[in-house]
Amino acid sequence: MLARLSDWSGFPTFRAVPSFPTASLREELDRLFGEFERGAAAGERALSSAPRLKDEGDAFTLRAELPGLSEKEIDLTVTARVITLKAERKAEAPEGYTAHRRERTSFSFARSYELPTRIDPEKVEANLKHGVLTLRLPKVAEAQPKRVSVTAQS
Amino acid sequence: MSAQQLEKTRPAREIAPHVDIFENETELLVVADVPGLDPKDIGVHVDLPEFRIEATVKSESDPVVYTRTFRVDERIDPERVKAEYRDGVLRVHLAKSAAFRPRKVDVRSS
Repeated sequence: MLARLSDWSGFPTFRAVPSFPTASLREELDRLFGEFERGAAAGERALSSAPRLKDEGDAFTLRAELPGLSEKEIDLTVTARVITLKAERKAEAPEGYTAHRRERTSFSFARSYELPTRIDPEKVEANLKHGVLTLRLPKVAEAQPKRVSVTAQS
Repeated sequence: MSAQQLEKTRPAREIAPHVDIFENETELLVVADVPGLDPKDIGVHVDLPEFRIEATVKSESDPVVYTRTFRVDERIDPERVKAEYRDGVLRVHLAKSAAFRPRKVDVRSS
C-alpha cells in the first residue's frame, strides 16, 4: 500500500500536462456559480446586474437597471402577491456607422417575483429614471410590521 | 498618476460598463450603459491618445464607480467632443480632425 502511494506521488507526467485548462475551467465555474447565486432567470444574464427585491418593513422595493429603455418598453403587472416584469431591448447600430465593438447586447427579460406577504396593487408606484426602474410595493395593513410594547411585571 | 495603488476610503463597486463603438466618416461614437447616474457625476476625459469615461453613482447603500479607458488615435479633435446622457445610456461623439475627414476632390478634365 505504501509502495503504491509513493508510486502515485512520483507520477510526474500528470502534473506536467500543460494544456489542462485550469484557468478557463475556473472562470467557467465562477461564472456558473455566480449565476446561481444571483438566481439568473431567462434573459437575466444580459442585464448588467440582477434586479433586487428588498423588504423595507411597510413596503417591498424592487430596483432594476434597464439602461436604454423608455417606459413604453417596460411591461409591469402586479397582483396582491406577484409582480411580473418584462422588458426588451434591441441592440441597434446607428445608421451609416460601422461597428468596432458591440458589447451592449439585446436582451429580453421576463421574471415574476412572488412576495411573501400581500401588497396593495392600487398603491404600487413605479418610477423610471436614468435607466433605473424603482418600484415601491406597499404591504396591506395586516402585513405591516406592528410594534408591540412590552410591559414589565413586578 | 498611480490611482490604482491608492486605497479607497469608501468601498464602491467598480464596474467596467458595456460599450459599443461606432465610426463614420466624421466621428467615433462611443455608447455606454451607465444607469442610475446624475449627469453632473459623469466625467468624459480626452487626453490623447487616451479617452476615459469615469462616472460615480453617489449612493449611501450602494456606491458604484464606472470606468473605462480607451486608446484613440490622433485623428480625434479633443476640442470637439460632445456627450449626452439619456435613459441611463451615455453617448460620446468624438469628432475627427478636419484633416482626417474624407474630402471629395473634383476631377477636372483638361
